[in-house]
Amino acid sequence: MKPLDDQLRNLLRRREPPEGFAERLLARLEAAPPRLTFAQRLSALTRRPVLRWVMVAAMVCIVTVLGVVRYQRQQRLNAQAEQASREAILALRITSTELHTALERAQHATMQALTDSKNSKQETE
Amino acid sequence: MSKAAEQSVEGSLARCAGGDSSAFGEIVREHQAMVYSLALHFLRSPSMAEDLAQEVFMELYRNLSVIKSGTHLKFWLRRVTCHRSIDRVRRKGTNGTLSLDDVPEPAAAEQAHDPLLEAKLWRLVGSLPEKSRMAVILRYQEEMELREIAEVMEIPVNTVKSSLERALALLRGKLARSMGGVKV
Repeated sequence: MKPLDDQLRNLLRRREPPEGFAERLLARLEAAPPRLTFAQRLSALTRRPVLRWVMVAAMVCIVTVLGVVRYQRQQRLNAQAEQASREAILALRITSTELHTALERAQHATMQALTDSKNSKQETE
Repeated sequence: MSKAAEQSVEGSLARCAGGDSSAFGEIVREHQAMVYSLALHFLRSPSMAEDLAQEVFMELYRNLSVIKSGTHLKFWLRRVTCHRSIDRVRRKGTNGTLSLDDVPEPAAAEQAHDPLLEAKLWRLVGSLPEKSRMAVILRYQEEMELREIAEVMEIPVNTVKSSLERALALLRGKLARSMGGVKV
């Protein structure tokens, strides 16, 4: 008698499915193709060599354009910041000059008042 | 899987991804005996086995993008068939009551055998607990190693080992009793 292992191997050998199994399956798929998710469709697309390179090229273009746009925006912001900084410095300079003039005038007026007061005292004496 | 067969399956996979529906037919024909036999030996009903095998291939069609190679495809088909078969038996609550006479002829040429002993063994395999039965089928139909069975069934290798040992001891004991104490 054959050992159990051989008997099981013999008993559980592969068997072919009924005739037309694959044809029935393909007809079923054709009649109602399973709905693929967006990720599955995208993933299936990337498996096609030509489309894979097209997608890589498209990604490179998108990244380059986004990089250029971002760089230009940054440059514009830098220019605006520099302009604002220059205007602020100019405003401070003007303010400083005005204050200086006002101070000089005030000092002059004080000196004048003191001199006038001294003169009138001497005249009284 | 031989290198040529592996390349052929990978070629079919690439053509399938490129929208060639006949390539999917080739994949089905290449693996239909494996999937159908796993389901048939486990479910013991040709109609349920065909239905389940069709479901497995439909699921494969939806998941073609995740298949990386011919080896991965074989592993994926075995894993999905194994889990779907166990799920189906659990859902329906019963095993089929197919007799060995109704089982389709094996794909390979059959060796000389004792029909009575085979019928008895067929019934005994069908009476095994689900996980032990699947482990026995994977081991003897697919000639898989314990580690491979563990990966397909997603259980520890030691569990597979003990399930197989218990199943074989049970089969040996019951067969010996039914043969009037003859050792098998």
